[in-house]
Amino acid sequence: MNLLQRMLDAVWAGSIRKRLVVSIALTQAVLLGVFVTDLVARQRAALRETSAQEALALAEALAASSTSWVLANDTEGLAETISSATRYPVANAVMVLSPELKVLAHGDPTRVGTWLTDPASRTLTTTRAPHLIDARALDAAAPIITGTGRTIGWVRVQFSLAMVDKAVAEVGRAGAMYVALAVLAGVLLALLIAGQLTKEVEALASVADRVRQGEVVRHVVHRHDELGRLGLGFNAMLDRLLEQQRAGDALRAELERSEAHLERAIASASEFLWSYDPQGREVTLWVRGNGGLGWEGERTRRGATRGEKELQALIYPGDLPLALAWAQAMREGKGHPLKGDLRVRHADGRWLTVQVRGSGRSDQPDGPIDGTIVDVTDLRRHEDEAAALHRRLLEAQKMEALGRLAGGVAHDFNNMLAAIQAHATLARQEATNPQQQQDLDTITQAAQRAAGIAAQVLAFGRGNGVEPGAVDVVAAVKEVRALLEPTLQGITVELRAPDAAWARAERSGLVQVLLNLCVNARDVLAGRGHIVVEVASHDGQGLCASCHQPLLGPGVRISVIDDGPGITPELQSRVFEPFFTTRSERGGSGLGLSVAHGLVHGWQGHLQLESQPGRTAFHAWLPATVAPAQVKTTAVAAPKVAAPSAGKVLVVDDEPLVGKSLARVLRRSGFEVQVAEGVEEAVATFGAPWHAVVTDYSMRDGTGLDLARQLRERGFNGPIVLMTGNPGVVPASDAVNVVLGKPLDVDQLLGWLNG
Amino acid sequence: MSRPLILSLLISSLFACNNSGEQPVSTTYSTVRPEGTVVPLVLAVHPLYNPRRLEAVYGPLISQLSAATGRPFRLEASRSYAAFEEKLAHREFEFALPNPYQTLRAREHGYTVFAKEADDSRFRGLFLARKGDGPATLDDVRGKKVAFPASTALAAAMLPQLFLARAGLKVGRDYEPVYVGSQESSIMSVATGDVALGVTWPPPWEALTAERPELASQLEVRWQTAALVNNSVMARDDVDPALVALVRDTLLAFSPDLQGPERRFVAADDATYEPVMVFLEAYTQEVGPPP
Repeated sequence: MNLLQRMLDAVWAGSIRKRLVVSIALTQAVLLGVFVTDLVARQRAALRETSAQEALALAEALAASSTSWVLANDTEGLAETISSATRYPVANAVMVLSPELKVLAHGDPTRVGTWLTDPASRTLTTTRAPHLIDARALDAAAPIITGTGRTIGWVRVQFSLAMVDKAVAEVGRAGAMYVALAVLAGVLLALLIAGQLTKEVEALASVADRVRQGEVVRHVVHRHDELGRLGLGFNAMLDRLLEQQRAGDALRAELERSEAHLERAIASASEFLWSYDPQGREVTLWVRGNGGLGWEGERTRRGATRGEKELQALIYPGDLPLALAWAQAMREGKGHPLKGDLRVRHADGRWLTVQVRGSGRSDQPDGPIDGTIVDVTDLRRHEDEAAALHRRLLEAQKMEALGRLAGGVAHDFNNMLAAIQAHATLARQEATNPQQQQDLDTITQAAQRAAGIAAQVLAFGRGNGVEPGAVDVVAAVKEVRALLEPTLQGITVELRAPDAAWARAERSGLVQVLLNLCVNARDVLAGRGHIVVEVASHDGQGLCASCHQPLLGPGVRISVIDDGPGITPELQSRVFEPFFTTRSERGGSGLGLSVAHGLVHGWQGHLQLESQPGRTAFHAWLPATVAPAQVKTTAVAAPKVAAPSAGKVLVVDDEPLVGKSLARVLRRSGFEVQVAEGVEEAVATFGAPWHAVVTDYSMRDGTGLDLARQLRERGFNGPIVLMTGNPGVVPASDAVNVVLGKPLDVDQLLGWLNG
Repeated sequence: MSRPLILSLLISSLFACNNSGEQPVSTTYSTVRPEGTVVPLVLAVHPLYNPRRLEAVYGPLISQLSAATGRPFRLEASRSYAAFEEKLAHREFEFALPNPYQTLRAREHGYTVFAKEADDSRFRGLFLARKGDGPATLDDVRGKKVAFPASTALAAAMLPQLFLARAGLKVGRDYEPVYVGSQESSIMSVATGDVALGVTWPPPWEALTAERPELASQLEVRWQTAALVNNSVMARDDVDPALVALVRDTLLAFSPDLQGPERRFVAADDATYEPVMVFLEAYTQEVGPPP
């Protein structure tokens, strides 16, 4: 097929002359061929019909003239009758048959007396009318009928079709010859016409080739017919094209300069450009620098165009009203200049925040609006993160300030309480009136409760000051559960925990934290509900709800979950503040969660809060650690000191009231006491035979620890008791024997001093 | 449609109309009669008339015989008395209707009379002459030409020749006999003036009178002979006697009113034709040896 295609193309394509000649030749050949073929077919049919009629007529004539001979069974007469017919040039066979198809006479005398047995001949025994036995061979038969209507035989004539075929063949040959002559004449005529036509066309083509090569030439017109007009039109077209080419060249140069300028401008910009067609409701986007929306074609010169509906699908649903309002305003010619942020979806599925600016031409209110788009996704994220960080910083600063404030207040408060408690103790010892004794006991109890509150305030600020270690959290939880269960009437507690989970904490403090959380849950449920305490490992992702710092990685998380009414978002940000409570009328101190905050953070832990109606969960996250069995613990032995006994004791406190009160208590217990109101004064007394030193920690000219170190450096090896209203701030040191919190437990102090 | 495909169709159309290759049905000849082909029985009638008329006269009888016997019958004519007699001598027919003279000769070839045509009075010779012309007396016949169908035609030749001999006119001596081959030819010979007299017998003359009255009106019966025994119906001796009896019954019951021209038959046998023997003896003595 390809070869035929190439051959046809070789003849057909490339030359009008060839096409014209081949077309006329083929057309004539086909039309005349069809005509001659049809003529031959008609001629054949007509000749056959004529021959058939002649055969039938001959048979009938012979039948008529054979009647008597058949009646007489006279074969000689019959032979004579058909002898004339057998001389007929196309008669292959002429015969007279009896009704039983016995040959009574035949052109071939040897056939006389034989019988016809073929099926076609047998039809004569069932038919009475003249007919064609076989039209293809022009085999006709006519019955021999007597005057009474009886069929007494048949005359059968078989004509040869050779004459017909010969005549038809002659007609066909003549027709073919005429076709060939017509085709030849047509080809010659086509060559003549094509030569005239293509000569002018080739001249035009030559001029066109030269023009294509850059020459400025024109066709020379010699004719006045259609080709002449074509030449004139061709020249006019060339003139017009030359003008347009020159104008186009100028415009193209200008356009290239403009585009180059634009491309440089776009390439140098970090933004990308857009244009909105209010009529077509389409947006076209060009991107030259980094970024873009990933639209196909956006980096091409033509840009990427999207319909308004298609574009809407790419805009964040929350921003769609703004975008639709912009589009409506732009279509009404009053929406520009516009500026704002939209969130749109990048082709890769990411959501981008873009800043859109746009403006139209003031002289075309309903014309296109062009503008820029800036990808501000990172900027807005950084801005959001910075704002969140700032908020967390403020929260942390607030908690830090609260802690410091609470620590300072508690310290001073403890000093006051220490004085009150000391004097109350002295007064109680000296009082003989029972009523006075009872009053002094009440003062002492109140001072102890106040000291408890101060301790909690201090715990909020700096923890409880106890060095954390490995604690089995599950055991602590179980302990708390045992403590609380008697008070949980109507409330079920479910524990979800492994056998053991070790975290870095301090056991008593952890019990306090869990108690505070569980008591809060119990109080919220008001005698009806469900508490789940869950202990599990945690990946450490997320932020602390109180200090807003990120967690420190994998740890152990203790969750206390209740199905109470939940905490509103407004309250969630304040629940860790000291003295903030929603249960003040029920005796809430507002210190439970703030104490938990202080303790947990003292162990480098954090707190998290999740709350919604029907579910509130407080999570205490603690750094994980290994079981103590795997930790080499070394008992730190206290320095061997001489056991104090009644002797000289140096009391150092920059608060005179506290120092004097303590000195009075110690003197009453048999000690000789000297009071120094600062580190400097105490050091100045060195050399005196002190058996023990009792010193405050935080003083105006130094700390009690500094004093202890100096005394140890100077060789003092007696007991040194460090007092502090804020134990959490006291670093561990071998220089002191014990750290006692204010207000002092006098019996405990005396215990230490006595041995 | 692609350009090559169009061109291919155009070119192929030039050769698409050739209509050749028809093969005719061949004709098969066999020397053996095909099985199941029933050959009709033949009733041959001597040339009373030309074959067409003979068929017109006896065709209804043939149809009746076929219907009655259940076997096809075919009427066979003959081109001449001689041809008839030759075929009779060769026993080519199962049944024959000869004239009385041929009846006697057929007996020699194995044929037997079983019936005959009725009305013997119609078996006589008629001398036809043109009205107002021809011999007025028998003596006027002398020297004239007289047309006869055939020399063996008993009613139309032998009876008239004996009739003329007894009038003193010897055949060949006193008049010139012209044997024209058939009854119609004899009549036409006198009508055209070729002969002075044309001899025939009643059936052909009656037929002419009925069919061509303008011709018959120009002629007249000038003399007629005495009657003899009418034509016989004979069967070949190898035909089943039962079939012969059935044919005879059919002939005797044949109704001429319904079936065609008057042809009635009566039973007969060979003895019925003894008068013919007498006639032949007289003929031999007075005219000469029978032809």
